[in-house]
Amino acid sequence: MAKFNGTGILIYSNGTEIACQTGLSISLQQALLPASTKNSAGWEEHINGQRSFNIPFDALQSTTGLSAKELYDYIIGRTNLLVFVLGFGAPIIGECDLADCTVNAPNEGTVGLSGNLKGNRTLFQLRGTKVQKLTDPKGVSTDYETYTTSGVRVTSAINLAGTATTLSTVSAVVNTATYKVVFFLTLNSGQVPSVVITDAGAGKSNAVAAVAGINVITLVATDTGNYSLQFYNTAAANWSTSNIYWFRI
Amino acid sequence: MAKVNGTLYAVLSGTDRVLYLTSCSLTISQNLADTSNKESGGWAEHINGLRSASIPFEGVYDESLISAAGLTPAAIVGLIIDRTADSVIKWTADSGTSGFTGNGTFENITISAPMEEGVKFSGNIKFNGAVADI
Repeated sequence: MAKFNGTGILIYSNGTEIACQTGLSISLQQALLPASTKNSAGWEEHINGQRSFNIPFDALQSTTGLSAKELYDYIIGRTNLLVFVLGFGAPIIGECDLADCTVNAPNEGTVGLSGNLKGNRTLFQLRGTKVQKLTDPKGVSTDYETYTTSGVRVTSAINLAGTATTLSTVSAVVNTATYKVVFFLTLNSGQVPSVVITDAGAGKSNAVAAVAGINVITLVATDTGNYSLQFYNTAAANWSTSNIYWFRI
Repeated sequence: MAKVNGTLYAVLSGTDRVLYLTSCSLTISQNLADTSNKESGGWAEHINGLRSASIPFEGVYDESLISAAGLTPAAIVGLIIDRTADSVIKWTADSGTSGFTGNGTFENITISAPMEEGVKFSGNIKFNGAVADI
């Protein structure tokens, strides 16, 4: 049996690991709405209601990396976050807002910080039929001038002019099935990339232009087969991404 | 007197055992609505009201499956995300031959990952409707 050491479970905000984490929890709940009536034979009954999740976490304050100042800025700027919890067999992904963040500065003690990420809309758990489909973003081909990756993260994509495309390693796609492509885009300059499912360049889904920041893109397949996830630009562009997750919903 | 080792008690959702538990409890309650009045002789009185039941549980997080079919904590997360319909819940010490049963819903699950400790989980099953002896 595979137990997990909590040290290996980490939170990433917009693709960046929160520095010096010491602990976290993932709480998922669904409201069970009272539905008891006189016909319930004296037993409480309910119906399924709203789902919600939150992720409280603790860390030590760090002078480098994503720490208190950056976290406070999320609250001050009312910026929402794309949160990955990695380390389990199945990545857990959701959009969140930082509900609160506290820095504790005890006398002659380590400065610690704690916060609570409140989920906004769907929590995705990439397992079963929703397993991660992307293994290599450039597994088939790329004609960008620069296209470097680290796992399923594009660390640098540079297109100097004209059209450039990158095809991922293929994965099984089912006609009319709905897929999500989730990632955080850092646009350094130029045009944002677009995303589509293709068969060596022949479109097999709708195409969607990404946005700088959080992307939760919906693609609907138009054919069945083993196809690639394609990122492409039609003009000069310089961008990078967090981990990219492509999964069926 | 025959004592019982808690390890024997299992929670079944349909035919799936909830795996990797370290503890589980069955709580059955009934609301006792107050009917005390000036004729109660100074004693509290009540009538029997709504009954309810729940199974809070805790365990050690694990994603591997053992040979018997079962629900991992990751699978329970999936059930809540999907708002899966109620399942038949059994609280039993002998694989479902005896115990208590009723329809139930996974109300919540919390997975905790402290530094340099085992990842743990806890949650609650809320019964939906009658609970009866198996």
